[in-house]
Amino acid sequence: MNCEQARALFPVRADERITPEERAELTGHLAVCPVCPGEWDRYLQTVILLRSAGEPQAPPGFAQRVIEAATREPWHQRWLRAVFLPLHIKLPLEAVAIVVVSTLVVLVYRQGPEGPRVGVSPPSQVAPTPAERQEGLEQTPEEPSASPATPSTASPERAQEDKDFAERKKESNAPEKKAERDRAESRVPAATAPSLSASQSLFQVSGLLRPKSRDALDRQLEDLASQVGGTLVIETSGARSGSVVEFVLARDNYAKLETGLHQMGDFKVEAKAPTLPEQVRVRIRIQ
Amino acid sequence: MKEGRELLRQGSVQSQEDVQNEQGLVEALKRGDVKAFEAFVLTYQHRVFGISLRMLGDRSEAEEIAQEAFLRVYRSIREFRGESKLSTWLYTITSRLCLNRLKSGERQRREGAGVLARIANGHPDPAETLEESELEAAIRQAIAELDEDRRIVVVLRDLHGLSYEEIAEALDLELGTVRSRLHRARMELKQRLERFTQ
Repeated sequence: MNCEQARALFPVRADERITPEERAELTGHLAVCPVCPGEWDRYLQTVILLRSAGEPQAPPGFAQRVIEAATREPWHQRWLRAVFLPLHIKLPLEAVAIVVVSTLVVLVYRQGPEGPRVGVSPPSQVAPTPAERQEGLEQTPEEPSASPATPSTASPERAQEDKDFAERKKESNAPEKKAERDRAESRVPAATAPSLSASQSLFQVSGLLRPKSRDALDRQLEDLASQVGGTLVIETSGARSGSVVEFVLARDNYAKLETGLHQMGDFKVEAKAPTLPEQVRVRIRIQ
Repeated sequence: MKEGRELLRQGSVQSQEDVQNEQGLVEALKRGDVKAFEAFVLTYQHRVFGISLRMLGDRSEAEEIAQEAFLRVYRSIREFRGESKLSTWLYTITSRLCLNRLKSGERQRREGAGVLARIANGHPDPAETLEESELEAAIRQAIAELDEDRRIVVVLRDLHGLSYEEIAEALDLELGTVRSRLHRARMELKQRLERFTQ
């Protein structure tokens, strides 16, 4: 072993990581070399010197400053930690919560009394049958721009009159409404419905219209109302299969109305009072 | 000499109790236990600050780096898998922060303002200089003059007692590289501190 090889073993010797063979070789060299023992001694003294050096002390209040900085975490990190960590616990819980809340929202929305129609129905509008209500609920979110059926031609007096009429009808015609609902649900033809005579007390004329064109039906009905100088009451979501529209017009113009309805499609008068009053109320079911 | 041999034996052997204590500490830190973090900081603050100061030679910069090292442990403790000792992980973070700072542009700008001169002159802080012995000042100066790759190895080994394996892990080096850098660093220091070893 030469001096260079011997000195390469100094660190492992100083750190007690030397193997027995290396130790034997180094000891052998140190016993015969005139220079290396002195080098080794100074090397070892240097290591001892370094290890005896005092450890610098952290400044006073250092730990407190670190803790304050750690707890003064940015708000977004605190928020994320609070919401998501630990992931394996909070994520499944949050997913379940979202599903439960969504389900509840859908159920409440579907079962709510009159739901989204509240506030947009015109006062004189006939209360919808369950089948109609269901249809309305399904369509309302998709057709937010559907305009209320209150005709633009209606005067305030006429609107008030329609309102009163609808209220009277609500109070006195519970059996009729039930019958209408049953009819809509069971698809029983209106002509055979037992409540027809009852409805005659409110409407002097009842009829069934199978329009040629459903797309233009709303506009055609409004035009017709304008032509006969009457008032049209129509469903908020528009006249369509299963809905009911009402006309209020002067007796003299009734014939004109009937002609107009025949032009719009297959119109059939289902019931008609023997004598028509001065102001005639006409109820038409759209099929 | 006997005292020297005992010092040489200082190492990083962990007893079973130490391991259990450390596991408990890690669990508490993972729960975000501020008291546990406080205990952790109080235990290691001087060592972390010491490494930073020995490496950077500037107290305010050392404090900044030491604080950042603790904050990183606090914020990343969930990523700690326990494959090494928590303290080794802390030293790893500290060492890398120091080396990055030494290589950074910010450091070079600061050096222009006199940090280098203070290290070379051995006067990092006037107040501290008054309390410092001649030997302490010589050691600090000798260490400051080492190349930074050798400096970090000797600081971790001889001043803070990390094992070769811990140093290798902290600096991502081979054991042989740790050994050779340590040897060269000590040989340089031997020459610079010769007047204290004769």
